[in-house]
Amino acid sequence: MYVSLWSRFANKPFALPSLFLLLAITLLAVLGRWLAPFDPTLTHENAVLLPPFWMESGQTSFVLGTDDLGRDMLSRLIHGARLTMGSASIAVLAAGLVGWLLGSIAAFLPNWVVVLPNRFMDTLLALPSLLLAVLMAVAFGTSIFTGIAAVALALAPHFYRVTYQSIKNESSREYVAAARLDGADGFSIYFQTLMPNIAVPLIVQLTLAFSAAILDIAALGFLGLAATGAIPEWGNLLSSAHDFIQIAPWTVALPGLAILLTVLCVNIVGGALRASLDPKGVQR
Amino acid sequence: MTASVLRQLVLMLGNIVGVIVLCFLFHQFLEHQQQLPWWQSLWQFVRAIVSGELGTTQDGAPIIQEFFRRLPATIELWISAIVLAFLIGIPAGVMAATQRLRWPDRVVEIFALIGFSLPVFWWALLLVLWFSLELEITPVSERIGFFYDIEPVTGFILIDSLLAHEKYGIEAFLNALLHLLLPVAVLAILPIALVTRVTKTYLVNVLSSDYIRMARGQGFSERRLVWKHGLANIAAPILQIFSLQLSSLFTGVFLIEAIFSWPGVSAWLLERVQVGDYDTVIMGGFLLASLLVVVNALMDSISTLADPRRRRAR
Repeated sequence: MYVSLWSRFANKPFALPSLFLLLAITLLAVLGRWLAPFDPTLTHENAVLLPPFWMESGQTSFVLGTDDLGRDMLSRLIHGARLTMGSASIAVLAAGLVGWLLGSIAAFLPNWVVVLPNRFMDTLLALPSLLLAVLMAVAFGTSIFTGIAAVALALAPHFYRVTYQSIKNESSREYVAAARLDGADGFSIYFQTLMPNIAVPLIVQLTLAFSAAILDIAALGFLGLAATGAIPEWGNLLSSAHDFIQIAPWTVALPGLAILLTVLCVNIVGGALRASLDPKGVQR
Repeated sequence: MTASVLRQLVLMLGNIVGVIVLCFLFHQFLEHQQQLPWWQSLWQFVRAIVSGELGTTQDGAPIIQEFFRRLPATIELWISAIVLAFLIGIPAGVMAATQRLRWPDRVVEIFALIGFSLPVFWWALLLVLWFSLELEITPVSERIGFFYDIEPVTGFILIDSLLAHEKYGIEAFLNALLHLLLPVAVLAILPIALVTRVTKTYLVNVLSSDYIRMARGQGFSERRLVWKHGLANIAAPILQIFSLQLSSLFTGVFLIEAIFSWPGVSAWLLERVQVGDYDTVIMGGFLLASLLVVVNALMDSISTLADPRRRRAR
């Protein structure tokens, strides 16, 4: 089964190149500390606002140029990969875990008990993630952790709903009744019978959530609601470069390009994965 | 049908209660709220909302008044983007579905993929750099040039500038339109990608269904099959998915209003966060959240009414 899944995945257009690029970016994020040529906060007074090396007056020692304080753009982008992708991963994992746990519990409770939790999750779903982030920032102060928590809060209801719905749909199927007649207890029905069938929608939700989380973390950094100050998170890099857009367009272009490329890879890989998990799927 | 509308109404009220609870929780974490026991502050909070007295901003202006003064600007931006999204997204989706797996389909698919992956705030900055700073075609911020003194009659600048035609002729209207151009073009990218993708996916399914093949066999023209019989059957699912995605689409409004200094509700909330006017942020956030819940319920009702199967099933 896994062989055919892999070959179906590999046959999708751009799926393999995107997967490798995504792995490369992840590797860069993990090993960034040792790979980056400079300290991301180190200022070089005699190398302020240098363009990338292929442009006029660029230097090869600062491959992608420097910002307004003479900090190396390449090093800042590499550290940004760790911050942005790391924050997004934490947010998605936390949301996935909480949503999956609560959804699983709710699915086995009687209907009248879960009316209220279901309503509350629906309410959360109706609110834009940035509005939640604004409210969180006011209540808990602006920090990168508040930002991560806000993104997780916005994503968790999606996981809750997917888990709840899939368990509800699958529990009434015959194979579950068969397992029950065979004498399986609740524990093994959940983990051995149901789990393989709710895993697919959960994986689909994970890929969708990851691209949303990267964009949201960067947007929060850009608005100054998560990473602020000298933290080289990609969105925060953009907001600090905002004022120099005309004299140093590369300080704006590069972080955005990094976000675009990463999210594009996640979306292509996610789309290919969804299509190969569900050959006749109609999902977006 | 009455039952389904009633059901929608009850769900909507439930969601508004949810919003109140959520905002109250955030409100409780504000530093200066700690003295009262929680049930008393909950009582105060609910009473303030029910009586419509949400308090004043730090500058002493009533929050409700400030909110509704800025709301038209947000609605104008939002509706323009949505209209643009349907104007472009539906034809693009139809083209991709009818030319499936040929180059129009591929081009549309690539554009949709980029649309889903684009950090809109970055794209907005680049467009400002090109169109406003380099080419000097479009203005950088605000809704209309400062030399036009437009009286806010409806709050919608496109209408107000037309109402002021005795003073400025058509000039003010064109100026306002020019201000709207860039923000709307950026804000519409994600909804365009969404509408295109959904239209294509559902239309491909519908076009291979039996009743379309039957109609084709009866000699209906391909154009009529697609635009009349095909689209009529996918209107409801498109609306339904659109209302599901409403909250994620609205996230862009915050970014666009911040970048273009658009004097709307979300830019106001962000500005209140900056100055530390936290009570206003929570009450303003409550108003915006309730509004979105109402819009969501409305769109859900419309998509239910548009689909005879769902209308009868409920």
